[in-house]
Amino acid sequence: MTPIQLATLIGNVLTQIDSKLADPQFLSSDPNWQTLFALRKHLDDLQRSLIKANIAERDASYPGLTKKIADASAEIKATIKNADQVNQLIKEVSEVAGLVDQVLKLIP
Amino acid sequence: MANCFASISVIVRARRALALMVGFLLLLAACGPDDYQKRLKDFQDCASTVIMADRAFLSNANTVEQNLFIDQQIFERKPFGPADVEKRTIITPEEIKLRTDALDALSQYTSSLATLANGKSDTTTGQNMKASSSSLQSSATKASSQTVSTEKQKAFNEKFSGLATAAAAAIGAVAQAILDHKAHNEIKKSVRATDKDVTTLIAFIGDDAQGFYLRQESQLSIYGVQLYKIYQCEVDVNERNDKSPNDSDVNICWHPKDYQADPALLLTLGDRLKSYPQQQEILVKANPQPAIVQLQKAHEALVTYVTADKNSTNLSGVVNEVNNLVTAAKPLGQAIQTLLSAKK
Repeated sequence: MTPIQLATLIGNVLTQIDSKLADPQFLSSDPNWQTLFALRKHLDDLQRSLIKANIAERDASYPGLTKKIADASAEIKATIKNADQVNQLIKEVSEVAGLVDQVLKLIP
Repeated sequence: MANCFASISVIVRARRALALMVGFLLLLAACGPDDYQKRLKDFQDCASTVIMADRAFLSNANTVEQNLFIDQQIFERKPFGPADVEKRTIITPEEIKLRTDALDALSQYTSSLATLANGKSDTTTGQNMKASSSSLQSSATKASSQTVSTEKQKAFNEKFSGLATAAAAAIGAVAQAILDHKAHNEIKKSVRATDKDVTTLIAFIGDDAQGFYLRQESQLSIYGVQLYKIYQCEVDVNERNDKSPNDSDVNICWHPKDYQADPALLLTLGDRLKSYPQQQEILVKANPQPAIVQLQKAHEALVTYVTADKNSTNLSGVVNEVNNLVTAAKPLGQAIQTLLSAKK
């Protein structure tokens, strides 16, 4: 996965999170809404950094990290369909954000 | 006397090479189908559209980040000033110029390549290619000597400089072969050997454009959340929260429970919510990636055509890829214009 493909994948996660945040049943006063909103902002910052960064794709850990991000992204896609699994969604988005943080540390 | 004979020999060889090349080009022109000129024109027009789209995203990149920040601050009811907005700049005018100059040089090169494929490997084509090469080399030099504020910018400039230098050398080699009136086979060999560097640079700049597109996508996506939530705050009593917000909370609905929504505000929000799906639709059409991928494929087909031994066997490849490029690039130009002129 190239860095731009990774940024695209994060873009897909962002739009999925936004569909959840805009849900009228999911009140903004809900602590889970607040957490997901904060994670969304963090992931957006990470995408901006990723686009500007010159990632060391040849680093041995890069393919493993991107594979984990792709897997976590697929889980988010499945979880977001279930309205009752907001805690699980927050856990998966946190995992993606943590992995992207690690990718950004590969900048030479 | 020996020098004189040597000079005559050189002239004779050059004339023979020129005669062979003219013969080849006449044969090429004669073998081409009627719509070949149209395909080349389509290729050039589409390349211009893709480059225009890329230029638009580059020029708009800072505005997108600044709008994202302003929307966010207003949504969260947080204070901000001009200096905070200015900090959201992600690309400097110098960095934009590097990319747009490289795009112009690549555009000129692909145009010259199309002319070459059309059987016009004359001095003008050679000089145009040489100008593309010089322009790219100048961008590469600027990138390597530019003062940058961050390590990330430094890393980008180093990568860009390396790729642009390689592409400049590649285009320069083809230009020199044409200007030296080398035999067409040598020109073809030069195009074939060096085109990898050119396509690598096209891909690199394409990724760059795609990145800025993704940022615009993110901005529009969160803007939708903000619109829907602000509307809900106005009409849904359950959303309202009369507690004073603190730094860690996002209290978008800081209203007393008996608050009455302002109809004028609701109508304004309604207008924005109605135009939101249209903005999403336009943004999807403005995605430069499909057109950039097709531009690369059409470029490769053109190179295959220029460098093949039997041109007639490869022409269908050029026609197919240019048709695909037209399909990908057609909605792009209009969408970009609409996108940039659209107001929230």
